[in-house]
Amino acid sequence: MNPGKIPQIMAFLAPIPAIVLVLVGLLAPTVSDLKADRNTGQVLGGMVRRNGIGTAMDNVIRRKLPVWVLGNSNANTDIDPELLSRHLQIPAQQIAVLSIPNANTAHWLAMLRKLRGTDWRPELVLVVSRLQLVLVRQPISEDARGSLEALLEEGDEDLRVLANPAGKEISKLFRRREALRDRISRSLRSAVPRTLAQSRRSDLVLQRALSNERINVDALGRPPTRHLPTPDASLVPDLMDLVDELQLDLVVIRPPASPLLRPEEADIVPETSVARAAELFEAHGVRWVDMTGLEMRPYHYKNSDHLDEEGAKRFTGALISFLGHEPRAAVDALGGLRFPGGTLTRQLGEVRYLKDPPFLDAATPIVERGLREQVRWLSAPEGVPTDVWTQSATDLHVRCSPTRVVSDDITLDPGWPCRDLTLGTSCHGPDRVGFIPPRDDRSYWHLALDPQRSCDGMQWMYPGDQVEIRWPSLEALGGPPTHLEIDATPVRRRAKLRATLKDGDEVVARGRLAAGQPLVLELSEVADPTLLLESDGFVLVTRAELVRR
Amino acid sequence: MSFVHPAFPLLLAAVVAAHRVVPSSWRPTILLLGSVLFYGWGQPSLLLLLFGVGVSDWALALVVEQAENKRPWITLAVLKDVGMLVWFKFLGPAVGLPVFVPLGLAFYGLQSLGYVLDVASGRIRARASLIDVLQFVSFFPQLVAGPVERAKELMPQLEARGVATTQQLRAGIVLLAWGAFQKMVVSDSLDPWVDRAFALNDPGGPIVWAASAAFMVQVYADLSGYTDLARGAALLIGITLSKNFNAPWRATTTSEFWSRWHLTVTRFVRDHLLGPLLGQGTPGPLRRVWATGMALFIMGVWHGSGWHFVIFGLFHAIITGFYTLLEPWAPWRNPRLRPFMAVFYLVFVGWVGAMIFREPSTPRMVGHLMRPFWVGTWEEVVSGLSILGLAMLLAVPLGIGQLVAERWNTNPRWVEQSPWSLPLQVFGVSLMLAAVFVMWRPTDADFLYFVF
Repeated sequence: MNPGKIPQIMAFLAPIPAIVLVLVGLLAPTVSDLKADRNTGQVLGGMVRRNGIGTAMDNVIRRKLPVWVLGNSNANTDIDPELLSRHLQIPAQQIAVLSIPNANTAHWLAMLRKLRGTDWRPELVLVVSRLQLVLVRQPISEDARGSLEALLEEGDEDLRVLANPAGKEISKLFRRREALRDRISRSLRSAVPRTLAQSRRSDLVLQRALSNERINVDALGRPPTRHLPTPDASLVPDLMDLVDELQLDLVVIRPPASPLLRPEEADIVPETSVARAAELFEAHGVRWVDMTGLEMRPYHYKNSDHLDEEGAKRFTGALISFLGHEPRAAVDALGGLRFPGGTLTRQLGEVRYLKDPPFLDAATPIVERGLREQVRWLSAPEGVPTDVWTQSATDLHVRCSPTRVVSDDITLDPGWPCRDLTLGTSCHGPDRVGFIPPRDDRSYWHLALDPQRSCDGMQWMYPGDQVEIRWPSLEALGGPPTHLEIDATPVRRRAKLRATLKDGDEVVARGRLAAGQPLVLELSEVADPTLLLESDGFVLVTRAELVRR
Repeated sequence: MSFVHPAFPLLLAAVVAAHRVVPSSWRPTILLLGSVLFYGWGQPSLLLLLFGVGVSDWALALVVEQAENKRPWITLAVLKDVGMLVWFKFLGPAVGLPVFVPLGLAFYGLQSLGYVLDVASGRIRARASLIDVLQFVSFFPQLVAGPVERAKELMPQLEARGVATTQQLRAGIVLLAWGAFQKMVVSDSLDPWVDRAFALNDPGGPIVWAASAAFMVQVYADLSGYTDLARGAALLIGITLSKNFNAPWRATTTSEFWSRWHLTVTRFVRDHLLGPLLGQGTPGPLRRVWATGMALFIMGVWHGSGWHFVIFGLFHAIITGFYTLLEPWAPWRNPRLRPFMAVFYLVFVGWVGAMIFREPSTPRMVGHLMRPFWVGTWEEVVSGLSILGLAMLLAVPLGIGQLVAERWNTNPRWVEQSPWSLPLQVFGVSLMLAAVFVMWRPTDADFLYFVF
């Protein structure tokens, strides 16, 4: 061979290493790929079913489990079956969590169609899913295609096409490209901290440090909307027809937005599609719960998109408050969780406290050296509710003690779990308050009571407090309310809550809160109602509603 | 249209192919058509402004060449082109009008004005052909983010109506791949982390300083990537555009930095602003401080109407003043001290300057600058290390690219004549394209300099 030709031949062969590198990266399976391949079509409710999920579904129907929870992995992590079962007054074993990784509406159609051959129906079906997955027609991953295939029966030809679409291999290649890109990016991000700081969880730490909760999301601009079919072009109409045919009680739940997700990773759906999907659900008697407004904190998540145990309790508690809520004309004066039209919102009445919060004596600091030396501990004052108390006393298990650590006029961020304390945050143990001083490392601190008195949509009343509540517009109710209902939880039994209802300046009714019972005041012919509440201890007012009976 | 728009490769391929096959008399029309499609994509009304600028400067150049007293016409051209920029960037927003800065106005406005000023100073002749002037003002590869070309360098190439040689095609493809790599692999990988770090409500020192360092890498990769894409695309049409960067982070003084960073804009400022400010004869140190400081201040403000750009310009002006006054002792001239001076400049001017440039809110900027980068929680330190580590790792290929480019420039004959240069180029291009293919992410993030 002519040696002069060698460079030309090499030029011809030069792209091969790059092509091989890319192909190896794209096609060589990772450990998680192999695991996913092995378990494809076998994962249901977070467990591997060696006989396949089709058979497992048949067993669920045979066992006649009355409550089904469908969805993707969010359904598995975000719902607390124990809590839900207590609300539904059934054993937890009666709740079938039937989550499938990356499942979408095609899967739920296939699962519910299995009921056609029987005359038994579950009493309640919950679907927990991002709206994107409700709308998207085709399964979004290889394992999800495999799962769909495993669920299909004769007559499911429309879904079989979705499980095996044309161009499947190309789209698989592009998905693998994205996975490879993310792996490389993660490795690049972790390389230095892993070496220098010996931090194996640096990527999660970075995600937490830059979580949506800590940033001004508006400053980032609006992320691009993914291409999604409109609700009418999605499988939602098919699902609605099936719900009508089987006469199911279906609830579709959109989980809360994770503050750990970057905006482009969030459940972004055009507003018009959200509204249209809600219309479709309502037209078929399906309850739609958009819980993206439910505020979650980074410590509620065990990874970027899945709730941990505490987060699941909060989410399930909010869901229960929806399931138990009777639709009725109501104005929530204190801003509790409400679901008008299926969307979680807060409606605040005009709440005005007439006195300053009482002074809380500075506690003696107990400076302890903990796992990280910066943490300081103060003993919690006698009788003041801690986060431990609020978690046990509220439906959503919230950390909202009114106690604040103030360090030279800087109020530290409250409500953190003690394991996650960072600079400028505080947490509660059963009898003490922990905190890390803010960045400038002040040396003087004391405890104070929150002047806002807010607690996740509820309101605190302190000893000696007086609060006045006015309602913005009674006309908005569509008819005059007949009663005022107030629910409250005293921290100590002997704490009293007195209510005085006025019409203008004239007192029309008085009442006192009895343990375990809502305080109800009649409103007949009150034109300009104002409520005055007075407490002589710590009381958490959980609800104050004007209702029509 | 942006270079990262999926339609751009098709447009470029169509223009290159058409440009090669049509008779030479048609080539200006093909380029003009390419520019119309490129600039009018999505917002055709912007073409009115582009061609309005081109037509008015074509007419002004003809008039100024003939005029006895050129000053009124020069003033008119400056008022028109600079006034337009000032209106869109400063006055419009200041009076509360919902105006937006048309894409690339700060670049093609300067280039078009430079043509009139060059004609007025006798550097070039005014062109009678409107088409020739329009294709110079609207040449699509460098239309929206530079490099800002001198008329005497670009116009003769366009008027020659030639096609690319084989060497130009090869170099063009290498530059396109390298530009895409810098933008889509380096800059876009840093973009989300820098954005989020600067959007933090209360960022700790380790995070915000790491993000500032990452921004230095990001903005360099972004603009250098854009310039290389522009140069590569132009080479495929047989046009050689100016280099815009020359290892800017090796600079030891502010003046040197600006002769290495975005140097076509620096050249424009030197030609048309610094010269008149320095005046005739040898200027004294104070006049040099004032003139250079003024020029740098205007360059800062040229970036936009935010106070941070004003502060950025002032910062560079003050630093330049110090360097000018220290000139008699000039430790940066000592070759042994040069590496230390480069690091000193990188840390105390480059790093701080990047923070000022990136943070639009003045109170927040002051807050960031007051934060020591070493004080923070464990979480902030680990996050800062993550961002800094990512930036450093992504800077490695940029350094390699710089070394290869220097080797290419110092020994161009080897590249042209060695039989091994082709396989090496193919190998490099295929590696870069493979990296672009893997790392590309759909994003709305355009080139950073598009906003200027």
